[in-house]
Amino acid sequence: MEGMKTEIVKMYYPPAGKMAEILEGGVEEVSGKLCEILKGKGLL
Amino acid sequence: MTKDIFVIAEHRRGEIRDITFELLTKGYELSKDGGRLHTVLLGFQNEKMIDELKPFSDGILNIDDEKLKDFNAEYYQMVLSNLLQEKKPFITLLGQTAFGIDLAPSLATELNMPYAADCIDIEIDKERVYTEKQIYGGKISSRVSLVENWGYMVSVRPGSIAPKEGELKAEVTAITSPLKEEIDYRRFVQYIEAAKGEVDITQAEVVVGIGRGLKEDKNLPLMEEFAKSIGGVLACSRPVVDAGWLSKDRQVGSSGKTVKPKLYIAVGISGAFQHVMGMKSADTIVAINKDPNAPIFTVADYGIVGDLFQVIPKLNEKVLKVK
Repeated sequence: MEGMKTEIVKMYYPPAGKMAEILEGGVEEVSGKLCEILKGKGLL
Repeated sequence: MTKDIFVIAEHRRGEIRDITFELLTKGYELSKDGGRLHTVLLGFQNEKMIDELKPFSDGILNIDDEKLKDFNAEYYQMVLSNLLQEKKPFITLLGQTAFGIDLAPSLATELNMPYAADCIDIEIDKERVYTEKQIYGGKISSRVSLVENWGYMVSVRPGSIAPKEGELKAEVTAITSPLKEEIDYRRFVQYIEAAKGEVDITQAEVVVGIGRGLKEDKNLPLMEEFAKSIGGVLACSRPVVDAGWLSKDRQVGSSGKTVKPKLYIAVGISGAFQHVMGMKSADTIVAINKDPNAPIFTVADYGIVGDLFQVIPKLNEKVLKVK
């Protein structure tokens, strides 16, 4: 295209970087796990 | 063609903005390809800022003019279009900030210069300049090349480069300001401090951030109750303010406030970079979102993939038992 000054060379999924520790389980279980984690860190 | 790198310094009320040091860090890296790194400082009575900037570049081009005391893109463009055409730097770096967004597109157009906006990285490969950008809310990255030219302009997203301490000793060169007459069609008038709200979210140790996942304002009491139970305050991403559910003083992000609490719980927030900019420095980040691919999970320490309307009531119940 005339006048175009930039060009997308490629598109890609960002490389996997840091990822949260996903708490697994049902609502009851993950809520309990999160509370324990936060309590352990002195945040509750 | 020179390989010199120019960084346009950004300052406000006599203080250098953080983005300037981020740009200088990247500029230093790029200048190792055989160029010199110059800070371009437009302002008035710049001595204090010059002292602060000296360790970060090989040279400072200082344009000191009372008309440049406060940012006005019209004056900046007049000065920079002359300077860049004369000095012909290889790459000119600006921040993807209100300052850069106002200035860079118009300046690049005047100079007929390739311009890549909102980049998170820059690379020189065999005389070509490539930039990396995030698109689709950060879910996709793109590599962009700039067509061959004598110079290139790139604006860089704040927070994408970790600033490093400078170890250089810049030589200062005074450049005579080309500004002759006042312009009357656009003037800086004054700075207006944001109104203080009833809660200062920047001082809270626990912040519960809510996003558009809340769906409607009738769901706010659920979150208010949870925030209260956990000993925190309620904050939000921009869509919540735009919808009128919470006031602007609760907004976290690049167009809101920056918070650094001990605990930040992001509920129904996708994790757009504008929001992340304002909360990524929290000690511990928890994300609750039903989309397992939401970018917020790449920022959080702990995540729950689930429906907030099921998770929050149960979590609230558990928190109350523990407290």
